[in-house]
Amino acid sequence: MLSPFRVVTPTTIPEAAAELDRLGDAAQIYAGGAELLLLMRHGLLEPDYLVNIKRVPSLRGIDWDGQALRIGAAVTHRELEQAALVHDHAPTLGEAERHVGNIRVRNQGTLGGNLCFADPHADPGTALLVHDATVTVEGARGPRQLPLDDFFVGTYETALEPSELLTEVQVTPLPDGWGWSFERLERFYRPTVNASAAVSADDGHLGQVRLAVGCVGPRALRLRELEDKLRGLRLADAQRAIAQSGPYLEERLEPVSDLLGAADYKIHVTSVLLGRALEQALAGTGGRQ
Amino acid sequence: MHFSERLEVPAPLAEAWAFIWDAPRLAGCLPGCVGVEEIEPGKAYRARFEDHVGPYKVHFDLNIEVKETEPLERVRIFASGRDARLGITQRVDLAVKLHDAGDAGTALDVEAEVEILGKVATLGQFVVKRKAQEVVRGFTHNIEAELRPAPAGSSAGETGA
Amino acid sequence: MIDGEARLETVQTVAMSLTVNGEPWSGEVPVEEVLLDLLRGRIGLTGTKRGCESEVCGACEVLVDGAPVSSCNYLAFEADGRSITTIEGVGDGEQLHPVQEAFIRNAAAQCGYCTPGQIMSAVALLREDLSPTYESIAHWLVGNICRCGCYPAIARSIMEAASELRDSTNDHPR
Repeated sequence: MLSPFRVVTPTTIPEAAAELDRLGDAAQIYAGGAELLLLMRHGLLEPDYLVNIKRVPSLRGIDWDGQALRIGAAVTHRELEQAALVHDHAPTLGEAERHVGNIRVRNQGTLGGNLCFADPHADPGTALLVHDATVTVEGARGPRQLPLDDFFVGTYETALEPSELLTEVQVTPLPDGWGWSFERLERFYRPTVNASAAVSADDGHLGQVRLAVGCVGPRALRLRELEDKLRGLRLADAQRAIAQSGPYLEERLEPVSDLLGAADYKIHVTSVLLGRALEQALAGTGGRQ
Repeated sequence: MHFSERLEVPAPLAEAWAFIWDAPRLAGCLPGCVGVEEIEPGKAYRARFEDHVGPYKVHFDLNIEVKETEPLERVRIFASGRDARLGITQRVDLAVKLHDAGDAGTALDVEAEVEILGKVATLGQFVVKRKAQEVVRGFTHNIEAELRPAPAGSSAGETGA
Repeated sequence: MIDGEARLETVQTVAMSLTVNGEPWSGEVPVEEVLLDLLRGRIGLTGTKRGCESEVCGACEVLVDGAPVSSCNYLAFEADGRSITTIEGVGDGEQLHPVQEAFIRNAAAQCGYCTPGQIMSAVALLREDLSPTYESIAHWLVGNICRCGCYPAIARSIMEAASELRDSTNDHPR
């Protein structure tokens, strides 16, 4: 049984922000509730109020403004998985979304909820990082925009200030001619490792490289030092560099042994998935995204 | 989970021992400790902890028992506690061994066997492990800070047990 | 959840109405009540089971406006104005759904606890895709866990039901 609470249902973002400000610690934002209700059931959170944001129309849309996809925070994973706009402009995200949880979690859970819960064992964040996605958050003092890379702070920690809510995720498509890939390994209830790559090709060599890894570290990360190393290399040399990147990955990701796998196993799988992601992404270059 | 830390403090062995033996002071070095109560001097204590992981608050009492002591050499402490709200049980088996490090002062070997049990802890194992690592590192860092000589001009620290 | 645990007093209720398996239901429900308890406790439809309460196992799966949800973590008031399908509504009176018949033929249930959820997922899948592959079945039903290990029989049942629905000249409304 869940402990009793009240639900407030704002219909605009400023209303939602005002409710959060008024209620403070006694309130939690409630979208799909796919994580929130579990936390409440386990006693980790005991809100007196749920601020239901599903009736705020501007939080429910998937739009294309000519330059970027704009995704409302209360859009469900299932909606993203099936959206033509996502398929056209950010297929990396679409691929990540189709693997979130299971069909029920995808129907109930939202992208905003997923990003704000900031469990590192998640898929959308890894794909969004190779798109250099940005987010808009809004509180009583109005909206502010920041890179997703800065929004993720640590495990269960984001850059949300008290009384702020995430309102939108902006996803710029990969430049024309780039290839992408999203690889993951899941054995139990959450993914063990995932990796996303986005690359351009330059006369058979790697041009630009973007690599992100999730699940292993305290939060999803871009591996910028590795990206720098791989730029300009032929695939075979890049694969070799990745195969030797174990110590770098260990330092950067700080893996921990747990039920999902031993730390060294996770690092090994990470390097394998990175290798596959790179190859897959390179194979996809040259075409229209 | 097993943790092993070694630290060197610029304090003579006797002073380091007096500090280790001072269970309230020692427990006080554990991050999150907000108070220590003496139940039986030199034998049993209760310490209260408040901490958080991201937005999630944890609070529990640790019952501390001094199990083994070899004066000036070694102390072994058992601690156990429970956060009833989250259904998490903690058990710690902590041993601190001291070695004379000559001019450098005293070397301390801290060995800790930490068990954190319960559904939330099992599901959130990766978080629990990171947190435990943080806590152990914080613990040794705080011991180091306590045993650093006081800066000139300020009053000397207590050395009583 | 511990049975018999003391429960604090409800502070907010919602007057709601919905249809369950085509039948209307209305009542006043605490906001903290989950759909699973409304279905089992208030309406008496006990085909939907309580399992992990973590959205992982699928035993509590029902369709809300055709979409699979974990009723154990779906607040009942969210179903206001919606159409719910439970396992009791998959067949048509005495007439079983092709998925149900295939399950029986293939012995795709041992203890039967996961079976309602498996069938709900299968029905939802076949509404979207009448030509599933084993890969798409595995993907769609990854959230329906069977401790007895009936997976091959479950998959086979779904393939057979799909084939039957494709070929069928009868109109199966669900």
